[in-house]
Amino acid sequence: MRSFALIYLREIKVRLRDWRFWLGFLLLPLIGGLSLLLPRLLERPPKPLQVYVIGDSNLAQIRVAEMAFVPVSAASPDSLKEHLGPNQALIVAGKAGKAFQIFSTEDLSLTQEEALRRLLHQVKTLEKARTLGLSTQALAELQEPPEVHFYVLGKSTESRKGLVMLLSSLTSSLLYILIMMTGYSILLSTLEEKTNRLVEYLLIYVKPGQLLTAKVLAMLSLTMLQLAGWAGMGLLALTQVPESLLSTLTGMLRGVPWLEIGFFVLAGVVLYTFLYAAAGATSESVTELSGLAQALQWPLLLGFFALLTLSSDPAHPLLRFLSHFPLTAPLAMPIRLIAGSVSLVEESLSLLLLLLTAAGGGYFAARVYRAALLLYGQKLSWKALWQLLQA
Amino acid sequence: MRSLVIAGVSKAFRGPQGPVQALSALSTTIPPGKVVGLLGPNGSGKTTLLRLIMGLALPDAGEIRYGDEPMHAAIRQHFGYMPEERGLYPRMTARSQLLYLLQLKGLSRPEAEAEIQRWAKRLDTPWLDRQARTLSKGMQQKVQLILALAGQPWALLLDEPFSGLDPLVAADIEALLQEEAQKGLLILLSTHRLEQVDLLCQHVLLIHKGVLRLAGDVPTLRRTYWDHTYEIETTLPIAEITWPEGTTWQALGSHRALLRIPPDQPIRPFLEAVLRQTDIRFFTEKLPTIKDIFLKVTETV
Repeated sequence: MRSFALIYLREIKVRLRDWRFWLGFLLLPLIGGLSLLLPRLLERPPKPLQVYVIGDSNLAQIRVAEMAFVPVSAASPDSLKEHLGPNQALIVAGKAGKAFQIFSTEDLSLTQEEALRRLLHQVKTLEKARTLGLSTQALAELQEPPEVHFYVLGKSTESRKGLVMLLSSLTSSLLYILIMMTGYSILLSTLEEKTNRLVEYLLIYVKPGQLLTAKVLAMLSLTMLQLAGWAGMGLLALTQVPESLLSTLTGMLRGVPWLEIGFFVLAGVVLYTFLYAAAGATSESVTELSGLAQALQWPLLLGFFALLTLSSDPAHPLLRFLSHFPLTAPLAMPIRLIAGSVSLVEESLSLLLLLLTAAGGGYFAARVYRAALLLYGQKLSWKALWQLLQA
Repeated sequence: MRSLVIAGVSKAFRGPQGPVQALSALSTTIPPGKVVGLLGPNGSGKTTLLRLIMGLALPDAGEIRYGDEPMHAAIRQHFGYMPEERGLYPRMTARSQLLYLLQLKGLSRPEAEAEIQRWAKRLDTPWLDRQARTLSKGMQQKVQLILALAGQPWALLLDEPFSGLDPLVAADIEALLQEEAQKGLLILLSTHRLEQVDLLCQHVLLIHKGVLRLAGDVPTLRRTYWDHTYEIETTLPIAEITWPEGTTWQALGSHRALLRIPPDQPIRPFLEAVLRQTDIRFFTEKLPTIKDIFLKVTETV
């Protein structure tokens, strides 16, 4: 037990001191955050734009901070174009405000283009309302989109497919990264001990199964820490979500069976760490291992891409199959659970299959680990591995 | 201190071309208080024997005992082991991995710290707080040696402990092993440096193709394998001397030669016959070295 604790603690300490762990831990939130923030950070704040307006338009009546509209009735468009300078634009309005041509000496920023589109649409609508004799309030009511709610019969909560797809994509990416990171982490740790022949020393004092289990448990603990960290960051991100979306999001997140998802994720992590550890024991170099490591990656990749395509249809037969197949269930079942389309029987069966496979994987990995760890100087073929396991 | 008894130990491995017999019914007793050399060509089964003793592999047949007791994990905790191709965790400091590995060996943290302190002083290792990847091969080997020596072991099993060491460090370690053997420790070391065995080892085991070909104390073996060769230096040139009948000689210089005298020839009349022709400056028995014995045994197999 003491040796077990020593190995467990060393694995945890080593990973926590490794920059790669922190990179993985921060990578996903970093990518997510950057993809939202970067465009805003990179965009230079545009200077106020002076816009000359030619033609039949109410634009001149609009007052906004980022642009000033100047009606020009006497000048010809061509002479104005010649006199345009930086931060100046010219709008030539068509009849009844149906079409607009905008000229400038340089590209307008995306924000300026978007603001102009919005204002011109507003102007067109107001013009139309005026000609039809509609009040501003009546126009606003006409413009307001109808409330549409989707419900699935037999479910108490409202279905929000768009949000489900978004959450599913995020979760599947996160779980894929998590399982891959943990798997490669234990593979490299095993490989390091084998390549440096430290294992020859370690195995005098601890049994191979003990060494393997301590490593796997350490990885599992770190995974739980990562999940907790990501959940914390997610909650922090929620504080930045607009009020209107927040109630919808929190309502939906509350409806997700997080505990069950957690079981699937942890069982998946255990299964894959066992398999990757066994893979690490069969070779002495990363290059030799790449084939085996890729073979372990295939089911995960298959599941990941299937989920990206099928997350809009959680009841799809392929997704149902993947959520029961133990090597893909850790990715696929959480997605179906988020969508809320899984019966208790299906969920229990899938978890049972996954747990049984994880236990079998652990047994298989322990045998490979014991048989292959002290073999040096030869690349283990599948046939040789099979013979070793039988011995 | 007890002896290590190897009784009829056999071990085979699966190889790409079928089973490979690494050891065949090997039996011997390794005495304590002596530096015992485990000799043999590459692939002869030396490392396999050390691994079997340390429980890293199980014998197909036979038994290994420490005294009267079959080897088990609790005994192995008192055995210091230095594997052949050794390494350390590259990113850990030498001290922290010594602390970790010694605790795995069964020492408490304060005991491990005290042992590291003691051996660091004895082996002059002021660099223990550096990461292992920054240490030279010799430095790393000293760390491994501390690992084997710490915790007052009953036995030391060292697989090629001198490979890659500079002569000064090697000499220091040789002296250390002699000291420990005199204290009664059982020391079994596998080595390729046969010239070193004559000076360092008091007992040798020679394994060839998985079979124990030779075992015994070094002086006895040298005497056993002595082929009545003598070395002589004379005042008269060697070529001008008439040697008694049956003597063969090989010149080592103009006045120096190796003589092989028939075993039944008494040495006194032989010397008298030579002295009638020349003065003798130097005359001694030329016992074979362990290297000579090694070559003789492995060539005849």
